[in-house]
Amino acid sequence: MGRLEGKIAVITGGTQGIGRGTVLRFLKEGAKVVYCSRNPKNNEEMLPMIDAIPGGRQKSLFIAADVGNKAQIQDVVHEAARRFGGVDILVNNAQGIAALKPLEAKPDEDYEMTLRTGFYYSKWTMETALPYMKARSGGRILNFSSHWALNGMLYSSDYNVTKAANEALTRSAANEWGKHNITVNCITPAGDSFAYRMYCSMNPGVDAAICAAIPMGRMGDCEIDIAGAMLGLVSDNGRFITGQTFMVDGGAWIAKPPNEHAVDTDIHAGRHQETKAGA
Amino acid sequence: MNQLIGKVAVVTGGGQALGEAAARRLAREGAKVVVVDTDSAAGAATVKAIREAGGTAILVTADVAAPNEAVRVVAETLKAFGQLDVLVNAVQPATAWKSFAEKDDADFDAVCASVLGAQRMMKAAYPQLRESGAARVVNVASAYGATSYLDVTDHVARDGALQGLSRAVAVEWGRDNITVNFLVPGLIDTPEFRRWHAAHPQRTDKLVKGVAMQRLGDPLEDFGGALMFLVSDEGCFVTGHPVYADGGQHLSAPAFEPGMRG
Repeated sequence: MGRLEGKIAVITGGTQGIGRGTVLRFLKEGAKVVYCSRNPKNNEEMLPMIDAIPGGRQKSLFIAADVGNKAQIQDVVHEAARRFGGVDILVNNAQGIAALKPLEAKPDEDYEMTLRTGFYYSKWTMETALPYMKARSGGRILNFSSHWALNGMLYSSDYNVTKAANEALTRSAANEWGKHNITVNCITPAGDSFAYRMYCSMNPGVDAAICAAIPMGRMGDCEIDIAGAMLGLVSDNGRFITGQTFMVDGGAWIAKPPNEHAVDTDIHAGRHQETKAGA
Repeated sequence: MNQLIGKVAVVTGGGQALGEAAARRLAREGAKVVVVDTDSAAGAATVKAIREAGGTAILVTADVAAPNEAVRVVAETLKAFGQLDVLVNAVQPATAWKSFAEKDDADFDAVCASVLGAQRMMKAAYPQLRESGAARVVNVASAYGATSYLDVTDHVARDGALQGLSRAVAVEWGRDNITVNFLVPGLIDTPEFRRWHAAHPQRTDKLVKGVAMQRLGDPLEDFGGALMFLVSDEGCFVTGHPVYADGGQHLSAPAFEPGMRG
C-alpha cells in the first residue's frame, strides 16, 4: 500500500529534475499524477520511466502548458479534476529563470517574467485547486523557495524576490486555509537537478565548493531525497505540519553557499519563456 | 504503516505524554523501542501499552543527565536489540509557572539538566548511530516553543539551547548520514493540556481556535506523524531543522493571557 493511494496530485515543471523525481515518486506511492511543462518533447524521456511503474501510464497525464499563461495553468488543475475526479495535492515546482545580472542592470521585464512564472502562477493554481480540495475535505500544497532568496545570492535579485514571495504566500495560505484541513508548506531544495547541472556547467568548480559546504556532503537525489520530504509533507505524516519552509538540503542552509558564479550565467539559455501579460 | 521495521529506537522521557506518544508511534511503525524514564511506573505503562498493541519494547529506568547513565542506556539497548538507529530525546522537565523575576536558579538548573541529558545520550549513542548507516536523532522542544507564553522563561531558554545543539551536531554528523532535528509540539491533547482546559475552559478553547488548523493535535497521529516525517525515509535529507507539529500555531496564535497558570 503506497502512502498516496487514492490521492490526485498536480505537479508543475514535471518533466525534469525535482519535478520529474516527484512525479515518479508520487506515482510509485500510488497517486494519480497530472504534470506539465512547456515543451512536449521534454516528456519523451520521461515516458519510459513512467511505463516502468505498474499502472504508471494509466495513472498519469502530461499536459503541455506554460505556467506563465494564466488560462493554461488553471486548466491543468481543472483537467486533473476532470480526468481523475479531484485534486488533493498541488506541487508548484516550475520556475522561469532569467540570466544572472547585477541588480542595477536587471530590467523590470526580468522581474515581471520571474514573478509571473514563479509567484503568480503559484497563486493561480492554489486558487483554482481550493474548491477541489475543500470538496475532498482537505489538501496539501507545496510551493518552492530557494537558498538564493535566503542569502541574497549575487546577480539573482528577481529570482530571490520571487522565492521570498512564495514563502510569504505559503504562510498566508496556511493561515487562511488551515480550517479547511489544507496544509501549505514551502520547499527549499538542494537537488542534483537539470537546472543545477546547467548552473555547474557554466561555473567550473562551483559544484565541489557547494558540496563541501553541505553537512551531508552531497546534493540530493531528486526522487529519493527531495521528493522524499515532499512525500512526507503531503502524506499522512504531514497532516499537522503547515506554514513552514523546509530546507531539504542535507543541511546546506546551515552554512552559506559560496557566492561564486559568473554574471550572465543563464541556465535557461535560449529557452526563455516569452509570456506577455494577458497572453 | 510499518515504516520502521528492523529499526531500534531509544526514547527518553518515554513515560511522559509526548515521549509516550513517540514511543508508541515508533513501535506501531515496527521499531523495537527502549523506553527510558526516571519514573519506573510511568515508563512501564508505556511499555505495557506498546506490548498490548503487539509491539516490542523494554524499559530502562535512568536519569540520562546523571553521569554514566546515558552510556548504560546504550549498553542495555545493545544487549537487548543489538543496534541503535533512532534516538528521541523527549524529556519534558517540570517546573512551576512563575514570572521570570520569580524564577530561581533551581528552575533553570532543572530544565538545563534535560539539555545535558540529550547531549549525553547523543554522545553515548554516536558509535551505534554511525554504524546504523541512516540514523535519526530528534530532540523534542517544550510545549511552549511554538508561540509566546508567559511564565515559562526557563523552558524557552532550554528550547533555544536544544535547538542550537541539534543544529551544531547536525553539521558534524551529516557525513555519517545521521540527521539531527528539533521537533516543536504545539497544542497536543496531553494530560497537561486537559488540566489547563479543566481550569480555564474558555481561554483554552480560544487558544485552540487561534491555531490555523483550528484543532487540537492528536499525540500519535499529529505529533507522532511529524516525528515519523523526520524519522522515516521521508526526512532523509532534512537536518539541523526545527519542525513544528502544531497545526500552524507558530504562525499566529493568541498570546497566553496572564493568570493562566498551572
